[in-house]
Amino acid sequence: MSEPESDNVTFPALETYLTDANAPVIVRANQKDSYFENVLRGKLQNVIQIFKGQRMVHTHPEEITVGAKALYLALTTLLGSKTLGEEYTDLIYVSRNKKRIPKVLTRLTFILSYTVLPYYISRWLRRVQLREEKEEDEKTATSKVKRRLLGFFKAVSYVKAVDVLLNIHIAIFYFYGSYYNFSKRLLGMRYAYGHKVNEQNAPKGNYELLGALIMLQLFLKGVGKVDSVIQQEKLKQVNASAEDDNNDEGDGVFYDAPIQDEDNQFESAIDLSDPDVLPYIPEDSRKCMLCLSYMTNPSCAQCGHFFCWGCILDWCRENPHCPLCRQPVLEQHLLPLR
Amino acid sequence: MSEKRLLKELRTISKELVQEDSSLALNGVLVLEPVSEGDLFEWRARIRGPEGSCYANGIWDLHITVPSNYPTAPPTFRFVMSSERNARLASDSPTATRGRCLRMPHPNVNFETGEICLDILQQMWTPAWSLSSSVVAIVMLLDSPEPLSPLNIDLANLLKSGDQKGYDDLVKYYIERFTIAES
Repeated sequence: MSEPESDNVTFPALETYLTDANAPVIVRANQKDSYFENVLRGKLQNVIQIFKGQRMVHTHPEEITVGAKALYLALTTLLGSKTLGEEYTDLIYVSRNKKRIPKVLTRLTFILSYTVLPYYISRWLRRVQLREEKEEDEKTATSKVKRRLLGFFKAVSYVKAVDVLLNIHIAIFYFYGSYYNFSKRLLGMRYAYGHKVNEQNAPKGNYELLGALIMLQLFLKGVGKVDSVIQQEKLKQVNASAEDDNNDEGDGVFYDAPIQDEDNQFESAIDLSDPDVLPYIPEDSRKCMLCLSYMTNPSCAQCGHFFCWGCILDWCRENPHCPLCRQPVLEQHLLPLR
Repeated sequence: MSEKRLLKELRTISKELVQEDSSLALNGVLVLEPVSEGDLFEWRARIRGPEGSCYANGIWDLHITVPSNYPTAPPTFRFVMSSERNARLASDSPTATRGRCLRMPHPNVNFETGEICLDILQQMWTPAWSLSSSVVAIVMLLDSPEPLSPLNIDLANLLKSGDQKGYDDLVKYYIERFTIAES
């Protein structure tokens, strides 16, 4: 309301002397703004700590951030003045066709959609995801096609979808340098230089390379995702047919598999109760002093003491010292003997 | 893992207790066994005070609780301190056999609860210790008290002020006072 004329009056020749800001300048302004938002957040946190206590600060970090952001923008953009970042780079908001300055209502909508809306959306998404996981557990009998479709949507979770959307948006920004935020794009609030820019030495160029890289990354991710989904489907089909075979052929197939597994396990374990295994270890050092039995999978700590792999792992996860000499032993430094 | 290890320890302990030159026998460990047959996680022990110290005349019972993640976590030792008010005291009937002592007068043992403060049974524990070596360590603690981390402040203060004779006599008095006659 501070500048009623600018809200209504159109400037017929505005585009002739207001130049679009390009990506680097906008990013710079944004960085400055986020710095001051952070400062404001710190101060807000102190105030809350004084009045509501430390606990409130710890339980509502997101809310404080959103509040600080909204406060900062309300005190600058909403009142019609520039934010500190915009002042630093001398940018002003113009409408989509660069003929108007955005109205108060537009600016208010922007602030709300920029601060409060993402907060609620992310909370809502989290809730939806939780609920779906629950429903998934309860659901058992659905048609095959439906299940497959559901599985696909499950694989592309909402949070990820929003992430991808935002990434695409950033990539577009890097290409064209017009709208840094999604809400600004929707509301048509773009930046122009607040001063006269000489056309010849006006800073040109955006971050096209960065945009291209993001697009490439998204593309590769997408290809990978589709590939893995297809693989999974194939695997499921193979498993299903194998199951059918098993049922047809009877019991024989069922019993074979676990016995094979056991054999494999036995081969992989080194059991020192067998005197032929690692014969260079003398008899009186073949027992693990943790379980007092012959070692299985003997492992060496850095200090040179030997234990069963399982025993020493159990111990040094809680106390990273050798049980015998108290020298430091870290899980990642244990050396299994082969 | 803990049950397997406890079973092995039990086997070694029962062998050592009957051997005369084992560390258990030499250090005055008279009994070290599970409280009941089927449970390896509750043990009891009976020890005699070390020869040549003021504790030499006493016999004490210990209760041992083994945690389920033994030997990663240390077992808990506690002197059994029942307050048998009606018990016949050994000092009243000189002819009867001396039984166990109902209190442990020691700077590092809580006089009321029997709780023991010994670093190797707390933060300095390593699985290299076993039930038998821990009991031996407790017997040795009797002869070498650590007055700087006391649970019994009065006795610790006597030691800190250098009154060894007063300390010895007070300990002996307590042992006489609380030793019951075995029927």
